[in-house]
Amino acid sequence: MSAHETAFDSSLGAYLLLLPTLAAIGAFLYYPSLQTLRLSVYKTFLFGQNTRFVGLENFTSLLTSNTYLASVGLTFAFAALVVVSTLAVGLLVAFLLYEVTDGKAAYLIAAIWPYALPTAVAGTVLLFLAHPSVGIYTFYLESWFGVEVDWFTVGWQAFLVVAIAAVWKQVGYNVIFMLAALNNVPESLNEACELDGVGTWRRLLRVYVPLMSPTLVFLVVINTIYAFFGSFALIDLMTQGGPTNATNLLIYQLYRDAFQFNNLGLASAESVILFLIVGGLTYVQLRVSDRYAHY
Amino acid sequence: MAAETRREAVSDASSATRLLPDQLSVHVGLVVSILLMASPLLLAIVMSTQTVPEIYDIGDITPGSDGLTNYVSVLTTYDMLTYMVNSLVMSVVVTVGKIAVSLLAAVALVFYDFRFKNGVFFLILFTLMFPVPVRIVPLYELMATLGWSNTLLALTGPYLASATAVFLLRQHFMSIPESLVEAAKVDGVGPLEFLWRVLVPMSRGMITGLGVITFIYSWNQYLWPLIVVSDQNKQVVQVGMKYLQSVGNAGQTDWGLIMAGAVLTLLPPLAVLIAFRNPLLETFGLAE
Amino acid sequence: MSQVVVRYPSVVVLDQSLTDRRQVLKTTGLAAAGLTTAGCLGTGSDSANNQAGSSGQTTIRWWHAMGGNLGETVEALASDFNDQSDTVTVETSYKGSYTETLNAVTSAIGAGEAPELAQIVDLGSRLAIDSGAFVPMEEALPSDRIDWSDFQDPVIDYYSFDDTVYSLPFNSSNPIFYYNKDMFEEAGLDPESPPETLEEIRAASETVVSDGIAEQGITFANVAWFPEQWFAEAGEPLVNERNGRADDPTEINLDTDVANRIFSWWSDMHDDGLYNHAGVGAWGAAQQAFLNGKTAMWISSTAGVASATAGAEENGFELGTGYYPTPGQTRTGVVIGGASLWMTRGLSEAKKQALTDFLLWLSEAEQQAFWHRNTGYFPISDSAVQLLEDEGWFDENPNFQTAFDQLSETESSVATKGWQAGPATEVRTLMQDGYVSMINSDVTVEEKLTSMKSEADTVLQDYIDSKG
Repeated sequence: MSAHETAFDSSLGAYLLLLPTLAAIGAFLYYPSLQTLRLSVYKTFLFGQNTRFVGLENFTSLLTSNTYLASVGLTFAFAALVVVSTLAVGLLVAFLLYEVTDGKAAYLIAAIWPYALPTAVAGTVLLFLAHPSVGIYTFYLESWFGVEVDWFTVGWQAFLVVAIAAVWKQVGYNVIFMLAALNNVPESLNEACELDGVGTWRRLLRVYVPLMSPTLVFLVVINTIYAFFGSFALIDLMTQGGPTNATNLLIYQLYRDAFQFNNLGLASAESVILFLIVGGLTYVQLRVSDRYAHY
Repeated sequence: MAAETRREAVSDASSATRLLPDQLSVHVGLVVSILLMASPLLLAIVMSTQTVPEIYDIGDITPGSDGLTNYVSVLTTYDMLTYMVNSLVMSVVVTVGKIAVSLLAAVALVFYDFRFKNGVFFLILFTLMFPVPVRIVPLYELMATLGWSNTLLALTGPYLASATAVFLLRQHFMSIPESLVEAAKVDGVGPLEFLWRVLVPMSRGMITGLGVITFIYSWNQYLWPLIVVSDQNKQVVQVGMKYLQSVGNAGQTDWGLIMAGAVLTLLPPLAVLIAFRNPLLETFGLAE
Repeated sequence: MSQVVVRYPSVVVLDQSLTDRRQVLKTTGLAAAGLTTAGCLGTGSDSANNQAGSSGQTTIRWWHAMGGNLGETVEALASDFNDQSDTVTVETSYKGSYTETLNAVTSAIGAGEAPELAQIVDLGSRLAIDSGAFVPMEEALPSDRIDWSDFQDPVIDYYSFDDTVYSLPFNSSNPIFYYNKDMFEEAGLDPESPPETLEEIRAASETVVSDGIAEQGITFANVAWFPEQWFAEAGEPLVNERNGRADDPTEINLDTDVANRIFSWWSDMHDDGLYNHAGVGAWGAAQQAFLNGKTAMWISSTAGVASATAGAEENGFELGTGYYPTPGQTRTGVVIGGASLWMTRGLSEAKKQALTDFLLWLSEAEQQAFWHRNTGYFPISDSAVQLLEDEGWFDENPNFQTAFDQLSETESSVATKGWQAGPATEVRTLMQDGYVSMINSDVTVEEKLTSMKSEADTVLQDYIDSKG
């Protein structure tokens, strides 16, 4: 037993110290989560005035609903796009930061500032700059590249714009962790690379990335969770799920069903499914990393 | 002889490879990518100084003639100051509350031994599996039942417990030198005093880092305030920006004003990030 | 060894004591401040419940969905009332869009904290009734102090169910047609004779666009309200069960010729570049497009007349208004839109009295006229109309009269009474998204209408099931 653990003896004291945390997680985390499970097997009217037990009916109606299934597909596609893009951009920037010899401190701050960027700000700014009618990006895209920007009507364009906003906001966070991981690369390894004449890209991809794999796995998990849940503000501000549900991610569908259509039982069922999906994804990601990560 | 030459050749080659990537291209790469990431914000700032007609003259990206008028009006006429104060209060309460609560929990988990300790720790850690959307409907109902709807209590309560904070603080506390712990035991110091006088001073960096993370996280919240606050004047600034979208003059959306609002919304967390970047980076393991 | 560890390194303690104290102060101070503010913000809504205010005032909370200049007018009305009453204070609270306000109200009901007075959108009436949280106005307001016959028929009819007036009409609107008279002249179209049917609009649009006078002919927001109105003009109910008024409807009539005609016209206009699709629910964007001269014509609520008039002046053109276009040659009339006011059940006598005073005051001709003049919502009582006519208002502001005339020429029928259904929000979303699908993808209008119908029917049935 370490000295730390015997610093104080009173068990009661320990529980008292833990009380605020335990009370908070009991009230705000466990209790509602269990309630979600319970509500998901009821059909509700308004805010709980009438509830009727319906077993798995909510789940079956979700799993047979085209809108819902489309939403599942969209969310996976969105997550894949955002996770991969964020990692790629983050890796590039982190690598450049690692390689630069002068002005590291200044570059660092300039590179990670998006960490402080609120999602709603990212959405609002891009909504304007890429606005099909008055956006400056639209203007240049249309005049220089002849691309027709119409993401208020064209689904995949809206999807892309939201994804770009999501990546923009998340890159800062990734850069921080990746740079930390790169900093842990032993200098001797760098010297060895130099001596062996290993080219830059090979060095990055063959040497650094495997070394960074625990961090990268961690970031994949974090980015996935962000793509699934954190994108809500972007959707609500930029597209409201449209056009025609092209950006109707699971989190947005949940919000609509719960707070616009007042269908609490159904929304709870959606929460349960979301939980299973994200939990499942996390588990898979960690398992895969076990096999491929080099520790 | 041959070996020497080879080594020379190699070192010549390696100084050649040292040029790749030469610092110039690294600098260029960094500047380009940073500009790319900053361009939306820079454009937003420029546009926020433009008047409505200037905004609608799309190709015009020169600083406008409205100067800071938009900032003043968005803060006063459009209540952004109120929203910012609301956000500030919420974020400060959550930051202070979360850290205080987690400090206590970490002390209990590190400096005590009791049955179920590991179980409790796991119980806390497991909550990471339940992000807000998974519990949002009953959580909302809970607020209604408690009569907390539309109040600061509802905005802050659910954020007070944090597995991440407990985890990080626990890690940190476990590395407190034994000598200090022994001294505490010998002096018969109580846990709270130990916390104030030893642990907190020794964890200032981490606590500050956690503070920054929590503040930024809390300032950023959107979905929860959206549903739990129904009075506009109690709303936080993130959702407040949504209200700005319907502002217009004779039917033309005043994007300059909205950009001013967006820039203002970004400033506090950005300021906190820049001011406290060192402790923050340390907390993430990126020591300078 | 032991000597070294007997005390904490005193240097550390000395250095830290200041920081500690500061941190303690910071922590406790901020926490205290936080909790106090929490207290202040938190108890507000509780104490307002069924308790007379400290100065003997009874407080009435009015939750509404009126933003912009509409909201300012609401506030002006409330403060006027507060000034002239020494016992009642009306507190207004803007809750956002109609949907957001409806949600805020329904969840407040669930929490047992409904506001005394709520503004609920027209299509939310069925839900409001089913919630059981409101008391019918006809029962609540003393019949000797309010003259129900003073209200115009279509308005009272709309908000009556089972022969009882459930809510108090407040802001009622019609959709009307707006157009840019200057552009019409330029295009060689008669600026005093606006198009009256969808076909005529198409023709006018073609002229305007081919002459390069505007980018597209017409714009309007993608809201289900407009197709609903076209159904009414064609004399067709939108849903079964007498348009949802006899009972909860189970079917929506999207498989009819009328539906086909409407949506085909709408989608063809877009495909041929004659219609500017401002977006789902994009009232503001549509107004912008019209005021900026992107289109020569615009359809919107009469509630936009005040701001549109100002906007047209700023943009230097003459604004014209006309009746809502019909999908065919027959013109049956329009359904009123807007919202009404609902009184919560179970109020204390004091609150009920206070609220009654306010509502009676609000329904007076002066207030109705004030509301109309500042918004464009038409005056809903005959006495208000009389007052406005007497002061020559309509003569000076013909655009404000359009909606009103249109209303008085409307034939009363099941179709023009307006549809009702509990899950109206969801059905409307389906229709709006359905349209976007039609213009976005290869699906034909007929196919899409069929799938919209089956989805909507399911939603309607689900509502009945969940009522239990």
